[in-house]
Amino acid sequence: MPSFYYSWRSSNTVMNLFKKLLLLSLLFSLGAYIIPAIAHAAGHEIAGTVFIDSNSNGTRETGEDLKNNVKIEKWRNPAQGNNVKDDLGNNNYETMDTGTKGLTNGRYRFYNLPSGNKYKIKANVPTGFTCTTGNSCQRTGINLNGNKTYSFGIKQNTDGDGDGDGQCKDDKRVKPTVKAQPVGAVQLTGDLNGDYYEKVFTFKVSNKNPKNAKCGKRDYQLQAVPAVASWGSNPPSFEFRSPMVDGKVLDVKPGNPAEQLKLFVKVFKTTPAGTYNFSVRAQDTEDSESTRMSDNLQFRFVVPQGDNNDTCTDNSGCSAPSPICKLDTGACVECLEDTDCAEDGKVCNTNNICVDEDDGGGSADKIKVRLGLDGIGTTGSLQEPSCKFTTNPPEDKERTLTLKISSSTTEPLTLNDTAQYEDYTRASTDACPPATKMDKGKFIAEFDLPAGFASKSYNVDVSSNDSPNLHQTKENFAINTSGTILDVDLPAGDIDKNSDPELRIDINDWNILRTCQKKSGSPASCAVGTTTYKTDLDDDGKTDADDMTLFIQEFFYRNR
Amino acid sequence: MQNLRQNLFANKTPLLIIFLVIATVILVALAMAPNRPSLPTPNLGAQKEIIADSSLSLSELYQIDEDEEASEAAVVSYQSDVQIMTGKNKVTGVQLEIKYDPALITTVDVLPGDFFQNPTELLKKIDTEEGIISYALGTENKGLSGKGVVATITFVPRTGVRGETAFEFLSKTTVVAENADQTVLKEMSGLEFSLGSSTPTSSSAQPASL
Repeated sequence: MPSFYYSWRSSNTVMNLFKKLLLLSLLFSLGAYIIPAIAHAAGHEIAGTVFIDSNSNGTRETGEDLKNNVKIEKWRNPAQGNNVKDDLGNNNYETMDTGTKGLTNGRYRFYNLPSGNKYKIKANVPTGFTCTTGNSCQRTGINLNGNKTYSFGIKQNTDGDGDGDGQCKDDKRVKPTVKAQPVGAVQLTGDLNGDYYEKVFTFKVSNKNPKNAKCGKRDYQLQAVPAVASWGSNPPSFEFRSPMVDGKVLDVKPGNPAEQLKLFVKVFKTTPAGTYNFSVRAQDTEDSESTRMSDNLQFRFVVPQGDNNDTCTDNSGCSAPSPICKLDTGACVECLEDTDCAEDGKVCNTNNICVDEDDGGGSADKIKVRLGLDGIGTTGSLQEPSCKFTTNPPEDKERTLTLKISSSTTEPLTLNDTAQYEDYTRASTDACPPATKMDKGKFIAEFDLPAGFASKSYNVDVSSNDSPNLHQTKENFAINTSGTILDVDLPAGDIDKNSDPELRIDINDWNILRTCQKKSGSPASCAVGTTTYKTDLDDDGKTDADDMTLFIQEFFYRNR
Repeated sequence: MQNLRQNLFANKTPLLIIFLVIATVILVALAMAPNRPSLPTPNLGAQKEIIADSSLSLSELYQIDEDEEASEAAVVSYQSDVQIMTGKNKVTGVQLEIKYDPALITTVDVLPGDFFQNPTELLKKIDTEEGIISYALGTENKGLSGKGVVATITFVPRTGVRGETAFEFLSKTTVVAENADQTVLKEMSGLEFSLGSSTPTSSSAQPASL
């Protein structure tokens, strides 16, 4: 009994001590939480970080460190000088260094600020650094109606010898190189679709500086320069697009060239026919020495005469095979009336094309559909038909096509058929991208038309069971008795098969694709939410980076 | 013979080996069979449904001129932040479709905010004729929860114009999140503001539930 009593007393004492400790720690935790909350609840805050922006893109990325001990200043107008109260009785000027006052990791924070406008915040860029987030690392006119976050990027001046004076006194830099991908000049041709058409020239830039060169940044300014002083009126225009920023390619490391850089050349309806030569070159953004500008990479393109790129005012502006000027549209066409068709037995159809006389009023019994699916076989992507997507044979070599044929005078006709994939193996000598009008690398179907089907122009809509919402309609398409081939390319990317036209290729599809790409084994399809989706857009049996690249190009193009 | 039968039943190892060989062949055949999924198929019960819990709003305008003295005479730009509150969602991307009046404002631009670290810009199109900003960005990393700025819109008021105007979210605006195959956007509220005074004055529009 005594033993039990002693034990009970002992246990009770320990319990009491434990309870007291628990209560104390609770009070301490609550205090730690509540006191700052009360202290800061009265107003808003301006907070943020200062970071080392190694690639000068203004955004903090993985591997970019935060910087302590950078002086941050905060004002509020009307500025009446430092250390005075503003019209609300608050200090209108305060400073702190990043990573101080209990903060770490390059952070700053100004608490308890009343609502209002005309706040200013500034990071004092340390000597030897440059601000990469614009406005000299200063934000003005801040309307403080809630907590605000402003982060500032700085980059160490890399003048090589370490004194930060912007002049390198130990220069081993050499000029960069600019090369085409693939090697060789590009012949530009195309049909006008709208007011202009656009072609892409792909190239790469290499930083050739030796690794022990102390001088030389990794950012290069690009220039596209016509070979002659002027291309005259309505010349083609150049545009270096993302990932280039303001015509600059950033952070090109020695031994790691920036590849797949793209220059977009826009040729306008009014651009005169002719041959256009131009070159692309690059130079270190902080190196004005002309001897260290890269050699010129030569490009050439041709705007053909009479290919509908030119507006015409009379027949002298057109040439074979479209020698006639159609005055209402300013387009060069094959014919306006039957007499314009030189060969016997030909007539001029509604598309201003010379066709066999039978095609003008007979009947047709078949139509062949040559379907290209973006990312598969010889079909590239909508935005950029490139060889990156031209060699992939599909896992599934069949598609079910639906053809809807209609006109103002006939009942709509719907036909279904199976299209078979024609195998294609790209030889090293093949053009890149391959010729578009060939069966290989495409899905081919031949539809039987009903008896007595009138040969004339129709609106023809084509869709595949892959993505029924991503259909394409050809208007005023002539179906002839002598055999008609309908070439259609359909985009990829409608993974969730959303029937809303506005949402056919959207960020939901990207999110599903992203989810499947991250799954182990890169499956061709996966479950997201409560549904399983096929995300293997190029149909090569896996969901990988190629599918993501293809999707982003399609997404961009569909919405531009 | 009786001995053989007794041995066979007594020692079951050969039977087990035969069974395992057959099972292996069946499993290998199943694994090698072509996988040809096409249409999205319901996967009921595999994962629980994600609740739309995110909201988008536009902050009040603030001026972004660099030099206040110079701005008196020079062009003055204004900025509004597209703010997100994710609730319980782990957000991976945002597609913004925002309407504005091109007759009243110009030089419109949109830039990524700091909500996503190192975001991928999927789409950026500003239709200056129709007055529609189309912008999409997402993260390759894990989805994020909390609140922050996903994008920032900047613009310049046209000289001499006056009137009430707004940034209005269109229905195509979407927020996507981990394990969700549909938008997780619950509500969004645009921004109404007036032009013509020395400084545009703004007020948040009523949130629109989806």
